[in-house]
Amino acid sequence: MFNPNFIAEPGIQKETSDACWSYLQKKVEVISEEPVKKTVEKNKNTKAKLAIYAWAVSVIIIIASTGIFMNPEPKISPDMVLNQVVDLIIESGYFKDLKLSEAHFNSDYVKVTIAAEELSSLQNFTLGYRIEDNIPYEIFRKDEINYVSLNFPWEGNKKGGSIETLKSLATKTVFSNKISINSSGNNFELYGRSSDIISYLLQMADNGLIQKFMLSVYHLESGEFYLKVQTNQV
Amino acid sequence: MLAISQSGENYYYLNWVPSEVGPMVTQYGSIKKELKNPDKIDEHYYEVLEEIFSNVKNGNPICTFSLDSRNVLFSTCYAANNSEEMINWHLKQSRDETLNKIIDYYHYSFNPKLGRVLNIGIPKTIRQSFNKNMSLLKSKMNGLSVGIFSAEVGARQWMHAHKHESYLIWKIGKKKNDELLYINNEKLTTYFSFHRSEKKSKMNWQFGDKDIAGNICQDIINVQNNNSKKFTSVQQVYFYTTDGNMKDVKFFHKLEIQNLTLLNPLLVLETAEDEKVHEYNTLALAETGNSFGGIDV
Repeated sequence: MFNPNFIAEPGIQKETSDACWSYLQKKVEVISEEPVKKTVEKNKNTKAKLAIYAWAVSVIIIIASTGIFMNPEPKISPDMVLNQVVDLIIESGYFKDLKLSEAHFNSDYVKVTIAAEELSSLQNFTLGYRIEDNIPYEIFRKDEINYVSLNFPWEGNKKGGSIETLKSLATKTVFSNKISINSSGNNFELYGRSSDIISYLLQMADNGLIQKFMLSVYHLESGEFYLKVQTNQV
Repeated sequence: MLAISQSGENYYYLNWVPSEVGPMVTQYGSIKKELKNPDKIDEHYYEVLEEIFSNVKNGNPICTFSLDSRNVLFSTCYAANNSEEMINWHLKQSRDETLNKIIDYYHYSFNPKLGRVLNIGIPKTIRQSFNKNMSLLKSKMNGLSVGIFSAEVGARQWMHAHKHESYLIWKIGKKKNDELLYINNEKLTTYFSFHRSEKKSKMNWQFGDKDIAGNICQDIINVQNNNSKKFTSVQQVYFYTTDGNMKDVKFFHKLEIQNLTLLNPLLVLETAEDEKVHEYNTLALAETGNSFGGIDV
């Protein structure tokens, strides 16, 4: 039996569609625009109104020109990138087709790989919203499975992380009874349910640790998740 | 995940989160909002979504929406092997060109034996308004469905309806005008509306297999008149209402029919709070089912 989803393109439909409209990440842009808007609103009845309009117009022209000629890299906050990865882990738990395969938090980028049996699911996923951020991605096929690999900008080269800190953090985190924790040398490993991995990642973020380590998240065949954390060697 | 469904001026919502024991309902409720100006439908849906989002307060809202079926158009046509060419020809013959410009058509297969498709037409303005509103509210919409079709997804996910060879989704309507969806071997076989009276039934409209629809109507009349303690034309029946027609719901429920079940997600899902769920007053949440598509419950 089919499950109608009018977000998909009209026409003959398959039984299910993963099409969505997503603008979650746009919150980041709004924060940077707000102060300018407020300034204009507060001063609109003053004598300096015209001067401010002229100033605002100049600023807009300069920003637009800079945008056209310099084509800057998209600015995305670490919190937003982490939220995206957490969202994907959660979605992997309940979407039948779309699965997070792995995510690697490197020193200057986060590479997230998502797998799907249907190519159209990945196409819809990328068309949904990620394309609007100019996030580089590539789609490929391996062993009958389709993958999309997205590269998010990231600053993960902060110093000061230690394995002891990670162990201590694990004692403060509430896990399910399926958790397994190992540590050796510079590595700290965690096997468990999606909720375990999410809880630990969010704890790391809350404690300002997320950018002090190299992290990898893997979705295993068994359905479990595996988090590997390494201290920054740089 | 925030699941919203519409029934006239009423909007029902159910917020759930993934948990170790499956989806857990954290909050549910309803709001009422009248559409004052049909030309500003995007503003109307914006106000609805904004009010529900603020009621729920769950950070970045990811939602699904199920429209009232009165917002969409249904039709059917022959289309062997889902031939798009034939469907387009049908639409050209049967629809006004102006209508085709303002409606987006979605085509779904009936049971292959029928060689037909069900066409669901949704106004472009409604689709555009949701896309725009998600942008304005910085949110994500994972699914946009309609009425009883969303409830059917719920029956599958919450109550594993698809494990039965055949099942019926029965929406009890106002003034005994009911809406029904019959699925056989996981394929849509008939979708119809009929007027239920004491002795006989009258078909309001019907798509798909006419004979089966007739048998179901007779079956319901037999059960209603206490001539039978079981539906014989279908293995399992799931019923609900969104219009608050509780008198009829209670009447059928109290007959204790063997294969008749209330389609209420709160009777199945875990809830964050231990308060007792009112099984009848929360029946309208049945149409939030599209939020649970593809999820293990």
